[in-house]
Amino acid sequence: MSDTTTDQIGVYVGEDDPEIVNFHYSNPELQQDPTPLYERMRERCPVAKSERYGGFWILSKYEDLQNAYHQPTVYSSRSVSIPSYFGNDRQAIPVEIDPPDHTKYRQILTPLFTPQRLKAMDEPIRTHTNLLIDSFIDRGECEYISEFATALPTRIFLELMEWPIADAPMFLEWTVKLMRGVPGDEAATLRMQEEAALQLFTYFAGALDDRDELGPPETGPDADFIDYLRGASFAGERPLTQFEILDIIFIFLLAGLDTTQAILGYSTEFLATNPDYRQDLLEHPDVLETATEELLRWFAPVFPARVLTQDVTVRGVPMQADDRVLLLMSAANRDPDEFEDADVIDFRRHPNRHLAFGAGAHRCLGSHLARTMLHTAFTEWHRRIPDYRVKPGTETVRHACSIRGVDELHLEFAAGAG
Amino acid sequence: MQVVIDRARCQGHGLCFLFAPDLFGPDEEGHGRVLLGDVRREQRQQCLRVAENCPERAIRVIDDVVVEQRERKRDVRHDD
Repeated sequence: MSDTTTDQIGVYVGEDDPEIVNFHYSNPELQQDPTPLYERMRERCPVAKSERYGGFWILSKYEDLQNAYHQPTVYSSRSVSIPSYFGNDRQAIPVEIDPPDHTKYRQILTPLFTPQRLKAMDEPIRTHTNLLIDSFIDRGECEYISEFATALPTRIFLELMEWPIADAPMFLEWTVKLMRGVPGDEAATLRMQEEAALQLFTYFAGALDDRDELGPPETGPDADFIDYLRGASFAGERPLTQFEILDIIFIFLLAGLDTTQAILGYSTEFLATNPDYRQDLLEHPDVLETATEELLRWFAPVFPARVLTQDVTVRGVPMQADDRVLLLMSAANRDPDEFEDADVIDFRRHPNRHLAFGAGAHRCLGSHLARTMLHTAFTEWHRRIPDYRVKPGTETVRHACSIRGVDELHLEFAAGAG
Repeated sequence: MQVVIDRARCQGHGLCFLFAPDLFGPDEEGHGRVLLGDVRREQRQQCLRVAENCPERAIRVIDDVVVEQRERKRDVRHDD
């Protein structure tokens, strides 16, 4: 390969661009507005290379992400986070499993998340949304993240599992530790996360053991989550092991927690600081669904990654087996080749085939539940607190680990609101 | 006019039945299902909109053969 060719490829992957070479989505300077860098990557280096964490590729074109999502044998999910997820040395189920086993796990899990089955959650979601609002509406202010955005999905998880809501504060504490760790201190973060994970696993294992003591699992449509998993069959060959059940429950908690929290946090900060958009929602409740999709497109919080199982060339750039590839979803969600006026937030955008929930076989299993939570949260919140703003003098704190999000958002509104 | 969901492509995003619940519904797996066997001409626009919005491009609107041929002839004249 001639020097010229190497130079061309070097430039093409961003070797001359320090922001790309040093790219990781958790970089503090990217928290406010990563858009300029995403644009540069997408337009100039659609296959970019970062040297962080041992080096990884970055795909930011919508088309390339769709290709990756639809070739799980090439783009393996055996590790989906850069750097790899903390603690657990087992493959997260089903997130880090490839076909054919992935298909078998999905066959078990899909019925638990159908819209029909989740109808039973409509009422609890509305109830908990309002209970949470009740807890701060008369104060005329709240810290939106801990008092609402994290609390709601935590409670809904407990409802799904049919576990005591009284355990919510304890769960909240564990999950906050799990997600946030200790900002700025990687070692302390790892310790805290492992400890929180252990506490959660202990709780889950206890619940499972209690059930085992009662006898064989209930079957049929009335079986709850746990009994359903206890009674399930892996490809008709064997029941799930206790480890598999615990891992599945753990992922269910994690997968729906900081993601939902992130969309609620970012969206509410956006609506608090953009009264024209908020007014649009208030005046046109029929745009709720398309507005939600647009907020999902814009604030898509997940940074999924894949590992190559073979050498692959994308847009002339050769990548090798075992290379890690970051699917920069938030950049792909603003790809002008897919989205007209991609940088405009349009509550009536159509079509909107955004990738916030992924695509292909790993499409987020919880997407129906997520949408219901978001629709209900936005509707009930705006019904009761139509006018709100970021409390002056407060700081909005954001974070970006493998799921970016808002940690603190102080809002104020008329006490009692309405 | 027929609307067909490619079951191999459908991954159960559910946008079809979210945005057009009179035309689409979930099947037992939560994947998309066309509710009406034969869709009326007036619903064509809505079907096209829904098909356009599927992240998996799993929905096809199959117009009547007669309409297709007429449009094809019109396109050929245009290209001249």
